[in-house]
Amino acid sequence: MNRDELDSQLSAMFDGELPAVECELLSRRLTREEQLRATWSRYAVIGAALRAEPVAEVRPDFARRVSAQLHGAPAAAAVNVRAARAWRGAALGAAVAASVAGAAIMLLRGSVPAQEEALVAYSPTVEYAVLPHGTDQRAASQLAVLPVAHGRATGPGREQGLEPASYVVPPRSAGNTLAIPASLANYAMAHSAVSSPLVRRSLLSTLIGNEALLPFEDTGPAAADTQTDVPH
Amino acid sequence: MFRTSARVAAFASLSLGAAAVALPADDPRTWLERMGHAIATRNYQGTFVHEHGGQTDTLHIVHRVGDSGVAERIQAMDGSGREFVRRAGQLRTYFPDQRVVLVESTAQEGLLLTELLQLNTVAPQLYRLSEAPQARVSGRSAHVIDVEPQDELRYGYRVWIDEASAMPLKTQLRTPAGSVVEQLVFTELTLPAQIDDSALEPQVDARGWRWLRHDSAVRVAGPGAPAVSWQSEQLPAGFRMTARSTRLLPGARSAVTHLVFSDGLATVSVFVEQSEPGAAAPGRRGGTAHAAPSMTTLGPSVAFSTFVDGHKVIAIGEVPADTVRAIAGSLRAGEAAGGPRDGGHQ
Repeated sequence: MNRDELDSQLSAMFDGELPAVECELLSRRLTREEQLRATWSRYAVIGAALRAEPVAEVRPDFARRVSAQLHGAPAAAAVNVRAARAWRGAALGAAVAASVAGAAIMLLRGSVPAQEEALVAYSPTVEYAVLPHGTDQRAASQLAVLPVAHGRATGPGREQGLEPASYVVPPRSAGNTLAIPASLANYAMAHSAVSSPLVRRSLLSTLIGNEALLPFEDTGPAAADTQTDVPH
Repeated sequence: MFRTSARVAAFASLSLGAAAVALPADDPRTWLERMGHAIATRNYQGTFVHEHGGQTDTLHIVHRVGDSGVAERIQAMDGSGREFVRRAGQLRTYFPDQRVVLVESTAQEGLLLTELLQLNTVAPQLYRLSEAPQARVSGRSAHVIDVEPQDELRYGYRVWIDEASAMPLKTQLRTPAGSVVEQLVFTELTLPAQIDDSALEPQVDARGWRWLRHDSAVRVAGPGAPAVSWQSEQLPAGFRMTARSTRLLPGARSAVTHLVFSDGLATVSVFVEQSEPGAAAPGRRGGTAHAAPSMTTLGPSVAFSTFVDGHKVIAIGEVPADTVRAIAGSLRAGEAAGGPRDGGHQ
């Protein structure tokens, strides 16, 4: 098995798509071969970077490869696992270059073609990518279209805006005072109706994370529409 | 950040009328009036950073003024995909991570910037208007107007108004000492002549999600209404009761009286729960054996909980802690008949 095939297998294992038997064989190889382990850990670094997790230590010689890959990354036309692997190569470069050159974190709203059914089914993949300063729009958009949900999301995109593969709510920063005690939730909500729209927005965002505090009753889109005449 | 409701159309005509009176060009009210006119009449869209309570959020806004009313869509830029769409008397909040939509009926108020309209009508004995040296915000030249409180009982504002468009580029809610409680800065702002309907549609597909409804205005009258009418004595300077209603809050065992106090800019809500048997001895003021008064900070707001005449009282507002404490402490239980009108705000 040549190096490309090995990388391909590794990538498939990372995606959880390698048959169990092959996984076992590859795992044994991983324990023996340092180069293979290095590739595996690079994939982990990319994954962490794309999930906006702290990025592990990256060896300096990655920077050169990053530049090469960034500028040579092919545009992605199809949305499939193979493309995701190609993207991983490019994103690897981006992540590493960022760590070397000083990073700007860009939110990439990936274009994920999604039917309603697929919305339920596809698994989270990519929310963020780390791009180096000076990355041009072309490179950014290439990265943006590549991180794609696995498998199911193959339908046409919505007319209004294309949805990202998944959503991640960033944790509250340290020292914020927006946590709201249960005993005050309803009062704060009622007050925000006569106070500030931004306070209300913050409250809604805080409360939605805590089902027990939600002062809302279950309804449905139909019920919502019948009570007020809202075009939608 | 921006207090209480404002009536956009009414202000627009007021603003235009006042402009005819021709204020001196260096009067800070001149720029506040221009800003009010811009907010009430212009379409705008842009990205702003909202800092509050130790949290920083970046949001995108699309705001359209048209024959069919004002519509606004605010979208979180933090990867959560959350959107807040206010249109035709309804606020819909989309939470893609939870696959939940919250639906609220709401008056066509509470839009992002409309509450700045009140800055121009503050009482001079409570707030002093002045213009600071011009500054630049997001690469644009801005007039800086200070709305400074004349005492320690309320917060002030500082507003950076775009010289070219008169739109507010940056606003701060500030303590009397000048610390910033809350800040909003536009990093990008455009004023399109037209905004398509599509720009006001949520970008998420909420079919198949859980839809939750919240009606904040479940009012109670008749047998369910509390037998006690609440009066205020010795309110902090400038504050008066502007609305009172009795409502059932979700999960509450009994109706709650909601009193609204305002000095024309700051708003404080006071909620009075009906007393529960054995909760506290009638006539006692302040703390009880089972619950001491407590102060809680909620972002730019503070909430003060205490017991008054055996009733649990919660006062919440975007004011200094002493002010909510003083307003809660000014309450007196009275006869049910008489008192300010029941229901409605402002």
